[in-house]
Amino acid sequence: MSAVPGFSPLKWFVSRYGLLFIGGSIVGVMSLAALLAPWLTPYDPSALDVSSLLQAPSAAHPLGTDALGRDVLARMLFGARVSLWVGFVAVGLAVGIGLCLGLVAGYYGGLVDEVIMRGVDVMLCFPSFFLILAVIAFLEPSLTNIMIVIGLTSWMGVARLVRAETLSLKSRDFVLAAKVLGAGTPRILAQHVLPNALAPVLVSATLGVAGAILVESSLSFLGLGVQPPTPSWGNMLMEGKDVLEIAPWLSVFPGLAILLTVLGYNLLGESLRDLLDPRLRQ
Amino acid sequence: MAEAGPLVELLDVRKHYAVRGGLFEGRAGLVRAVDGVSLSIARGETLGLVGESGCGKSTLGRLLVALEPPSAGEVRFHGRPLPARPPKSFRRQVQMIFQDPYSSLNPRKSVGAIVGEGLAIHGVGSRAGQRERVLELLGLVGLRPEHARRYPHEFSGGQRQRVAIARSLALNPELVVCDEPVSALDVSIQAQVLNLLYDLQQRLGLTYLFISHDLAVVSTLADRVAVMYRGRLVELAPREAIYGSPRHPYTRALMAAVPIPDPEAAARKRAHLKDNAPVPAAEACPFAPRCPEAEPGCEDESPALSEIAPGHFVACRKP
Repeated sequence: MSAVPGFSPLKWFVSRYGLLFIGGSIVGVMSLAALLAPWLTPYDPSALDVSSLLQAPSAAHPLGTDALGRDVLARMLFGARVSLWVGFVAVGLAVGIGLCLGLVAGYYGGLVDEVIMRGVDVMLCFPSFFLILAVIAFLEPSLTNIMIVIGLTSWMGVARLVRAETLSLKSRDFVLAAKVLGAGTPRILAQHVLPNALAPVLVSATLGVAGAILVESSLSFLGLGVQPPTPSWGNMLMEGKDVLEIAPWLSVFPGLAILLTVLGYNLLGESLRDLLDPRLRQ
Repeated sequence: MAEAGPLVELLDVRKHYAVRGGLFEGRAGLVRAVDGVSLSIARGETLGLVGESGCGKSTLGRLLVALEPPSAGEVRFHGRPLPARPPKSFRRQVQMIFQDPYSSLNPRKSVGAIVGEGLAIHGVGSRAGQRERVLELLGLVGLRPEHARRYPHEFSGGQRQRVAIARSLALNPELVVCDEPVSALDVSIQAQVLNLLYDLQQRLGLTYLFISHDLAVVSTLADRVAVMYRGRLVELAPREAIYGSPRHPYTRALMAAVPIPDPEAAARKRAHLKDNAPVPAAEACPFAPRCPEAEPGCEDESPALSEIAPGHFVACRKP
């Protein structure tokens, strides 16, 4: 094994896995920060401190304090929990619905397929953000409701992906072989179709987490999302906007956190797509 | 188990597919994939089924394993008509080997799980018993026990086809439909797999329906050969008769197309078929438009199979 001339392992790694690495690192760091929040800061995210209002970043408060004297870093760490939790649960719900409907539509075809896919078309016709706004305006804007509503309005992409995969998988020889062996429909779907349809769903779910985090932040920014005093990046942005000129750190850091997290999930999703796509694989 | 009569019978079996077309999905036409085929396969026999691609031979195989129900006619197994939803016992008795071993094995399952799937579906024996049986099957097809833990992508085409064969044998079937089982393999591997199929038949008393477009391959295994053209049987005879004295013009043309590894012999006269002709009317001889020996009158009637020598059936007006 002598070195191939002109081949640098580092360059090869960076060109092939660079984006995956960056995206994965961002997602990993954010997740760890959310998980370890209570141990990363000595402050309680909702503890008021009237002696230190709107303080700029310092050694005691690395990211400063807000108008009520609460530590911004602590609020951001606990806000990460909320944002990521919303992202995961909403996407989990969307993937669950999309998988079931996509499998059924693709496998059974005919009228069942027609009804489900027209349902998808109808759902896609709604501008989903305004649908979410309308629903949240009627229900109370609790964390659970937000997660459910985001999940219920974002399953269509997964359903279409899974349906397309199922359509091509159901006539493959290994599915026919299972039928000849006497396998029932549940077994065929669970053991032969589903495992082979998961790769694009994983990509879609990763990108979906980014989308869900954005929607949650937007809702919270508009005051229809996570309600104060529970911290979320979105409502921190909203609280910061009134004092943007005198205390920009209140808006900048939550904004950066949203940007970085969404970027991280998008990079991860895109590079997973490239890695899992057999046509792009060398 | 010594019951009289053939293991499987097809009685005037038809399979028609509606072709959808046009903006409003109206019926644009009807494809007669299998158009009135009757034949029987005796226990322990290998029936070769040959024909060009698209002639309906694979569809016939799928009807036999009840992947699809026939549009008309009847499939009889052990003398009993096969219902539209075959019973579980039928699934244990009839199995299939597919053409492409790259698409017939689930890439996400280990070879052990693939071979043992039938045992799991039918709940045959304990877990340990199933593992035991899987190893036995792997040995039977010439694979090693440690292969059970590996995944299909780690195997060559020939080895994959062995895995597929092991899977088809797991439930001790009586009939195995082999749909072009060696067409996707290298020529050097084809002989190995054919030998394996032959050995297994001898040891396990299997009955084969052996579908192929390759007459040379069929000649190594088949006891009788059926020739199909456009959904119908045109000739059915013992192997020696088909290869020695083919009677139907289409069979003769197929024979003449078999390559011979001898330049001088290869220079012999070829029976040339006319180019692909329009689909003839349902009542006409399906081969008439391409037949080098067609005469006036051939287009007027569809000849039925008639026995011209013991066990030798031909569907032609003038043999």
